[in-house]
Amino acid sequence: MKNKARLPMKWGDFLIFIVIIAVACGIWIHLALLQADQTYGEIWLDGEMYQQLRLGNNTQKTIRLAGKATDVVIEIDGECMRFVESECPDHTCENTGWISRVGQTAVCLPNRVMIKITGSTKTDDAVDVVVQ
Amino acid sequence: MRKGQAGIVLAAALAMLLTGCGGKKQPDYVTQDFYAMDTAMQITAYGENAQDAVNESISYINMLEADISRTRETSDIYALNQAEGKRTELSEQAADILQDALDLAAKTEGFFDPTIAPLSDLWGIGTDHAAVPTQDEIDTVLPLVDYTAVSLEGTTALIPAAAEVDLGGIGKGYAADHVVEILKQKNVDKAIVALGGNIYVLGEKEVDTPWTVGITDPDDPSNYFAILSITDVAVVTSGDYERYFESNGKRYCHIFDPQTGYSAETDIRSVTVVSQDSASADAYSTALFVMGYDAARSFCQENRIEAVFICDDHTVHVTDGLKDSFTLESTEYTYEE
Repeated sequence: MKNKARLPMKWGDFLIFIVIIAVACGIWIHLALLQADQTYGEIWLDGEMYQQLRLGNNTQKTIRLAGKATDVVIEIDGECMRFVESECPDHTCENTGWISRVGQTAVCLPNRVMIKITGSTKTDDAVDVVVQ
Repeated sequence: MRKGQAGIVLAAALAMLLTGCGGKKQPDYVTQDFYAMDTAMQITAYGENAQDAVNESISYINMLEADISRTRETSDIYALNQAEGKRTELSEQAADILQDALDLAAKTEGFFDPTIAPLSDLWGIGTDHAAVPTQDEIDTVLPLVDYTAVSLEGTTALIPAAAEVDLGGIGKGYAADHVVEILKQKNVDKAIVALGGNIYVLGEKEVDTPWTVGITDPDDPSNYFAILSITDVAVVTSGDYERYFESNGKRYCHIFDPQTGYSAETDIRSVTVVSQDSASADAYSTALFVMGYDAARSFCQENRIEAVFICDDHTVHVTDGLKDSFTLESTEYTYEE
């Protein structure tokens, strides 16, 4: 007489097993989506991270910081950031304008301040590097 | 342990793996931002030795800068500029880069000139005293701009009193070439070296997949207007949009015409040179910009230089060797054969 095929655990245990796996999958998908979408605006002062901000539709902020030579004002608006004011002599940083793509940077050299966009690369970020 | 308990433990372990509790995978690359040679630099290197290779590359760049800086009082080039016409001993490295600069000046018939410093100092672009000098001031300084007056014998050099050598025009390119050698020696076969505006893409991005390099849009420097899909080459751009000042509604950029003493008056907005040699690309991009489009295009043809030009009428021109690698992204520009 053949034995009936049996689960290697009780039904209750099996249910817990399924629930744990389902919750884990849910968390994993949520985290993956979050990481895929999230970008950050980073401010670096003389090679050290000064501040990191989550970028998004509701992000609006103006940050003034003391650079190596003068004060620098940085504006964050949604997914973009830029140097809005610097008392440096060349104002190259202001001329760069808004940055928004992952990997994009703008630099105020006299003040040793760099802003950069980080996060997972989006599909429209088609290039590995930009020659300036 | 009961079978059921074992199943639950197994599920919990799987869940930890799925949610990342099983340990985060380390990236297989290293990216480092740093400042040197008066610009922001970034090296991204892949593979096991990446960190070691990047550290050594940064040390090399700092050492090179200490040797060739025009403003550091301890550098060989500073000593040469202050020697008031006396012969000066240089390090082998400083002599080597000076020789490269003189060779490139000769090749470009002086459109690239490593003795341009007295002129750029006079204009002061990028400083808080930038201004259009008088013709008398330009006439006084212009005779000092002459690469043929530099004498280099072995590792000793001599320049006329008041003349100055500035190797900034090829310094970053020279550094990029040597950084690539360091990376290769450390078995890094894939990297992006970005030394200011000098890019070197080492190896392929993936198997049979080139790197994609955006070229800055002169009208919107935070964006790129075109893409080059390339492998194992240097890419250098010179343009009028980065460092400049305006006076009476006219834009004066930081690239000078060594023949007139004025900020280059050219129909080119930007020129991007692609070459296996970054130092040459650095000098050529400057020279081509000053030449203007027609002369620059002929020069490229005669010297087998590959380049992308944007002219002031918003036309884009690409030399034959780059046509298959080039993609125009912006609708603001017109591609012309």
